[in-house]
Amino acid sequence: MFERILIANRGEIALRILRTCRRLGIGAVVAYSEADRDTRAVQLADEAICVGPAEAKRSYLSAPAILSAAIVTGCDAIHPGYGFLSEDDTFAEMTRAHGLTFIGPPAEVLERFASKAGTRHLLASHGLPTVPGSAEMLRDDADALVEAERIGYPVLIKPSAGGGGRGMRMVRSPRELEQALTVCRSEARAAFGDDSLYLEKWLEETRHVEVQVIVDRYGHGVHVGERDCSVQRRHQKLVEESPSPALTPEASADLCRAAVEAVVAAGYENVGTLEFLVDQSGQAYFIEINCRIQVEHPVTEMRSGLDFVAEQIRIAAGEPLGYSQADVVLRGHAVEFRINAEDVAHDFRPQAGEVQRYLAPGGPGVRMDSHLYPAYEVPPFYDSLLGKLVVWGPDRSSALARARGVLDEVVLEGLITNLDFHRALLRNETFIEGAFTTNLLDRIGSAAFVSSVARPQAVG
Amino acid sequence: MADRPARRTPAPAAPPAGDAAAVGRLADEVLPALIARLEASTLGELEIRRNGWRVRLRRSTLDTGSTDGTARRGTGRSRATADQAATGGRSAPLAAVGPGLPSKGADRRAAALSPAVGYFSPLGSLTAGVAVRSGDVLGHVDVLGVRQDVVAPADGVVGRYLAEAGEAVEYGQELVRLEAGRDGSVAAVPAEAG
Repeated sequence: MFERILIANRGEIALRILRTCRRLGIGAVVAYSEADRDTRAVQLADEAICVGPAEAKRSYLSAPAILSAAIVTGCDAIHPGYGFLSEDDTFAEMTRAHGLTFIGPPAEVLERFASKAGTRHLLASHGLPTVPGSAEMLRDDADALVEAERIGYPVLIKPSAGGGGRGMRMVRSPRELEQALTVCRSEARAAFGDDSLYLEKWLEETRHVEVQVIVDRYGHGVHVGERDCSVQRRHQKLVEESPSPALTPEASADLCRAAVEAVVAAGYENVGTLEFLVDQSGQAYFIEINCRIQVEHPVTEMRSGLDFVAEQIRIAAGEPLGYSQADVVLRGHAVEFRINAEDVAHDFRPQAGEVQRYLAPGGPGVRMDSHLYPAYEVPPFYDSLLGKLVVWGPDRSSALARARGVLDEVVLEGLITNLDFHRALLRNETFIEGAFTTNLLDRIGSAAFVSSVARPQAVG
Repeated sequence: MADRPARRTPAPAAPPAGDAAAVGRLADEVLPALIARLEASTLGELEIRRNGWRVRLRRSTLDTGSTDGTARRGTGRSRATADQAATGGRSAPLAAVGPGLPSKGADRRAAALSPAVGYFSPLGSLTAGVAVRSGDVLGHVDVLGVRQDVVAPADGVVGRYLAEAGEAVEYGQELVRLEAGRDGSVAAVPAEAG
């Protein structure tokens, strides 16, 4: 087991990792940027070391700075958290080359799963269903028309390179397809220097469901159920829950079993998450794998009693899993609300500023993972996540009832947050019924969440 | 690291209401032009007044009469220096842009800061009392075998070394104290052997 871990991240996840280090009796060193000097993790760490300026590229994303910090502080492992260097196979390889352990999948595993298209092919070959699409890159317009006819309209035109929606178009007819191909090619060429395109079936009204897995170095793996992350705005998750209200227990068990069998067969290692789109008929399509701890991991911790950071550390240290699927018992229902510094009324614009008052909620089945404290200054340089409120109940309706109570308890003053959004969501019929898709916010309009509910005023 | 030549001290009077365009012009055009002019001159200070505005720029060199006594920052659990603490969290990125600059008008010292996390090695030929110019290399920080320069942030005289050879240092840590020269004279830093 490791003696001392460098935590190469910030905010709530740095604190989350630190707490597990404490419990396991492992020394914790926090690497921070100049903008994060006053964060909670820096204050609580055994040692803290400034690795660079606020700009992430020169601090949290700088492999030499992070590695050098680990070496000079005498660490033997690095926990990258999420984002930043967490799925960077080159960094994982550099870490190993300097005699340290990267807490996550080994470099070669990260590399194997680095390409989305490659991962889909790999896991499809191990039995996971993927979104129907053209088998190869499109040769020309005629090829595109034939492929689209085979897949069935509507189809999505996607560029081979890059992401972020550029070069992507949804088309509903051959005529639209012919018109869009030229535009997509030139967009893709301009953005990525590569104009090769492929087609995918356009799935309307889908849910985002993901499966949590843990796999050790020796080929033993378990799943820890699924999470439903369909409450999103522009692919940004806002609320996550487990189990998914859209899946029957049998459908959930089938999906989770298929997921863990596929990743074990494909040689995955450590904690990971497989993301699926689930259509109205309940058919799941694998889209991508996240080779790291997820923001929403506490949802699954609340149901399983597992500590995923501890599991990551144990597996990276070479320990066997030590339990089987039958030992993983999932209880009740858990929901996570991401509390962000953002202005819902103004297109979720991120906010920065000083936290003037902060009171966390509590009580049975309530967990608040946050790095906030009164007078803490939220810097403008990083993501807007202030904390995660996770609520457990024996079933979904009791979890939501508990969530309503504790969300009204939260006092967070000094900057604009999305707390009112969550309060309104918990009173929205579509959400309460659980019959929503990733279009929920587009359909209702986020303005409805701002104005429809009187703000429960915090009592001073 | 480029030297930041001047500090700007806006007049305490609030700008007239609805004068956002004037503020924008001040920041985008007037100040850069003034800074360039001050840099090109031998003047220490420059002030203009126009339409109820007053802008004063002061060159950032070391004054005489320096005092010692700033707590040394170690590697772990380092706290902000007095300068950085005084500017508050929101000014942190400014400090990052120009490490080593005195950030208060009253500050009479400067320190060369570590450009990275790593092991410090001072320039062997440098001893206390040697005059240096802004931009002179005072030592190195070794980051995974790659040397990064520790640079004098302003003209002055080498004072105390705040970290020892081979010591682990963090980004932004004060490494070499610079004092003001008594007579304003400066000498070239001896070239490093090898």
